[in-house]
Amino acid sequence: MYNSGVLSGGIGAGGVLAGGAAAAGGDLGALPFSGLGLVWFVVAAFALVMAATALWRIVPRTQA
Amino acid sequence: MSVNTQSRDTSRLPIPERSGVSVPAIERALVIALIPAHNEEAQIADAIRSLHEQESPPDMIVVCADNCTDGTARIAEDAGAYVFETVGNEHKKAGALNQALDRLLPALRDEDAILVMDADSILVPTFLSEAQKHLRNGLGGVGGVFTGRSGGGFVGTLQRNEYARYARDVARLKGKVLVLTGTATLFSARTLRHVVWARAEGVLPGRVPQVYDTNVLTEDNELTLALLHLGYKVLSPKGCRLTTEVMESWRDLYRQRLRWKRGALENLRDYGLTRVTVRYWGRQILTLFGIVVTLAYLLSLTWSLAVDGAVHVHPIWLAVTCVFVAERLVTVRARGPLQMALAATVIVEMSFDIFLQGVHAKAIWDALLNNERKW
Repeated sequence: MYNSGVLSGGIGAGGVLAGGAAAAGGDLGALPFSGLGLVWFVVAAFALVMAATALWRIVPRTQA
Repeated sequence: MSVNTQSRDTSRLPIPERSGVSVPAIERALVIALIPAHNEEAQIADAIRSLHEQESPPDMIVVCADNCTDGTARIAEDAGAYVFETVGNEHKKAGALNQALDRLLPALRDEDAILVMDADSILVPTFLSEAQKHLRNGLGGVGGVFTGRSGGGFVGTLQRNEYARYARDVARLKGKVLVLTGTATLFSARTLRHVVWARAEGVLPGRVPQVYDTNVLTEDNELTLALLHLGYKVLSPKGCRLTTEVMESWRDLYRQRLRWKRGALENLRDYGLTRVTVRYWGRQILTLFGIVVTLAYLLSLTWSLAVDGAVHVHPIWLAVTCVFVAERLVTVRARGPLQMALAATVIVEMSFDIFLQGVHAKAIWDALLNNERKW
């Protein structure tokens, strides 16, 4: 069949990022104990940024 | 917008002479629906019916039967469409559309409009009237907001949730989209002629003076970039809704997404870094970063379990997780309580996201190494 390419640029970023961030937020407490301090910092920062975008997506907004 | 009353040259329309068909002698702007179809006998009638049921139906429906070996052409004719059979087309959907548009565009006036839609799309009755209204306001193209039809079992359910979230996002952004999808988009003839001219002049990639670039995997994404680079705006308003098929197996979904994601990357590579593409590049980089972070997270969890024999959960990160759970729940509300319950488990949809991240990583890898493309 013929398909569209919308998700490549649309959901691709939004959905995957939210998923990745959910993964990051799920059990971050483990990381400091793994000895991977830098990795922990990067993952934590990313998770917090994604949490902010998740909040933005929750907030009610007028729809077109 | 004034309507040019100059008569149309109908001699080059993509319609067989035996049909004795000509473009309707109407002085107002025409709307012609163009449906590329490759072995779509199971769905083409429904797509055509949804066009007949429009509040403002198209003046003509043309099905581009591309290398069909089934009953697509016969069913399309029975459903009231004109059938244009491609000749020697080796460029899939883009090639089929180009063959039809090469003959169609010279026969149309600037004000006329062309709806390009997939054979598995079913439009809501307001689609065309709504799209025409926006197109008259000077947009380059007006696209559809799609949701997934039933079928496909569990993998279909996950896609329908994904599409529902996409539709919600588009509505919250008041119709602003990154891509005018091939599922259904209305263009003016003037805009498409502008694209053809720009390719011929080397202003846009493609070089060949045709509407669609046949060298790309995602021709709809490429055409959107083309329109944006020519200064047009694009929109997918709420009234332009449609339903489309979902992939019915993980293998099909993998192939579909690999093509979409690699296609999008290669489109960006073709256009380079421009004022238009900078936000697309930004999303690509964020997505790549998301993949790396997810990988790091999973590896560190494994490490922690292997070394410590346990994972340590901190309240702050539990709170963050709750935000993500809420986001998953709220954004899928349109799909009903059952899907909200599925989203609440997090782990199920997270697995789907990790699957998509894996496909994305493969697409990057293939694009970097220029591996053989598979449609």
